[in-house]
Amino acid sequence: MALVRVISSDGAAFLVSQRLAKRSGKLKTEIETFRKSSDNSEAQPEIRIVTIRAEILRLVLQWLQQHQNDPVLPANQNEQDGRGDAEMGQSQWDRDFLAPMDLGIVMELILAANHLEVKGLLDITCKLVESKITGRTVDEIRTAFKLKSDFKGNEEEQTRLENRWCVEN
Amino acid sequence: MRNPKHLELLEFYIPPELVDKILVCITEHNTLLRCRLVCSKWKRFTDEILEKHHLSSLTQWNFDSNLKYPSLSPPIFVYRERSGTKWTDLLAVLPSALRGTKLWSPFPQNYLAIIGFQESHKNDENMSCPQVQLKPTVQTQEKNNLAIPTNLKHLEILNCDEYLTESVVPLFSQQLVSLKIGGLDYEGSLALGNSVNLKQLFIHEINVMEFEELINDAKALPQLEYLSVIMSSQNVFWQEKHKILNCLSKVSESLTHLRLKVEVEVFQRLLNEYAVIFSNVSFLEIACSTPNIHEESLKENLLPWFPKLKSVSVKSIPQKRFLQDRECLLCGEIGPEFNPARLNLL
Repeated sequence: MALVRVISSDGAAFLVSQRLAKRSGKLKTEIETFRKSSDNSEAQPEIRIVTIRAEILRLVLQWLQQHQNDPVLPANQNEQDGRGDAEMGQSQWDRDFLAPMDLGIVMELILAANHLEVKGLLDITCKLVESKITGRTVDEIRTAFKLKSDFKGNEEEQTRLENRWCVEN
Repeated sequence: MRNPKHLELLEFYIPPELVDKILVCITEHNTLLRCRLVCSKWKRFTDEILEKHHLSSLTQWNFDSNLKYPSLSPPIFVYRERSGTKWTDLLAVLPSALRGTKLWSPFPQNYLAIIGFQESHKNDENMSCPQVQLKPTVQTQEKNNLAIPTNLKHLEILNCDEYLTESVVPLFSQQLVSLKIGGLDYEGSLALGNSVNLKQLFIHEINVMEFEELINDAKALPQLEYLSVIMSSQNVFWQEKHKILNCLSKVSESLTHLRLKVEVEVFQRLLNEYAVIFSNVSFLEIACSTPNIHEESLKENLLPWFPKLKSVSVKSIPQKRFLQDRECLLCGEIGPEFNPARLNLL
């Protein structure tokens, strides 16, 4: 079985099958680039992912392992309405997988899924974050996402006034 | 191990495309409104999403949700004040923070809604909003003063009088892609002019004469695909019903979606008399008082005039309501259904 060594930003190496790795668009490209540039067809590719730390990379690979037989979703699927396949594609395994994660981990997972081009994982993590936003107050959202208001002048107040005209009862 | 400082930094730098991807999953309207207040980046993305949601109603037809009062309530209200025998048209700009800067609908970049204000509400003590007196005609200068977006594509004018409607619509007729007009309360004439880009036209609570005037020149509406016509009263003479079909015949070629408030039987008799073929209409929606109409059978019956018909939807409403002006069918859209209590929020 052809293998590839994937190395996280903090130096942890993961040895995975190339078949599994190729379910990530980014890793697939890297493996193919390596093949084209290497004289030795037996050589084992080594891919360093400088933006993803070990804990997150392990989670991505774990998710890929679980979904290795799923059809590969094109990156632009459902682009028209902007929605992913999270609702129709989320399994009980996915729910159990995501359940113990705090928002920070989920956000890192979103960034990793985006960087590695793993659409299915990206969809379900975005959907999870959405569920953590819905129903929350502005302050709760800011706290959860560690965001600060950067509105200038009376822009925030003006936005509040605009909102009052649009609230659905 | 997780480095809290690293994580904090990371979360401040979520790439814009991912913020968009997360926010687009949100379907609850009020949550989206709250997202507008989080920070400027979130506001920018949320506004685009809200605009997309709102404008989708132009092409995704559904009686139950389509005819609702627009979720993006307008910041502009128009009403008329009388001093002795003289009437003055006033433009109320809400909320007050918008005065002189942005007078258009809060979110979209190319959408404007203007809703006529009820005379009975003008003395509401909460109506302490800035007011702008309109001149007899809205010329270019007034257009600029209104700060209406120059790329305006979608215009909604509900419950306004002839003066405002006749003044505003022609200013933008060439650039509009969609136009919703409802609750016209006058006997003037409104011509759409050369609306070469107009694809969606919703005319609700309009009388036959006004409808004729609007659709008079078919060449002016070469791209019209969606037409929704709800007459103000169905108790019209047979002769007038002919006029309605005559108007429809002028735009029959380009239409793909048609909505009418008409008795099915009457409609079929008119179609029989007029050899009008709606060659591209695939979706037909009818509001009528006849109960239990079998949609599939109706579709079969209509195929000679609608050869590409894929879907017929019939909304049955009680006879009494069917004949009423300010039809309950438009519940929540205009007129008495508008809740002035919203003003209290200011």
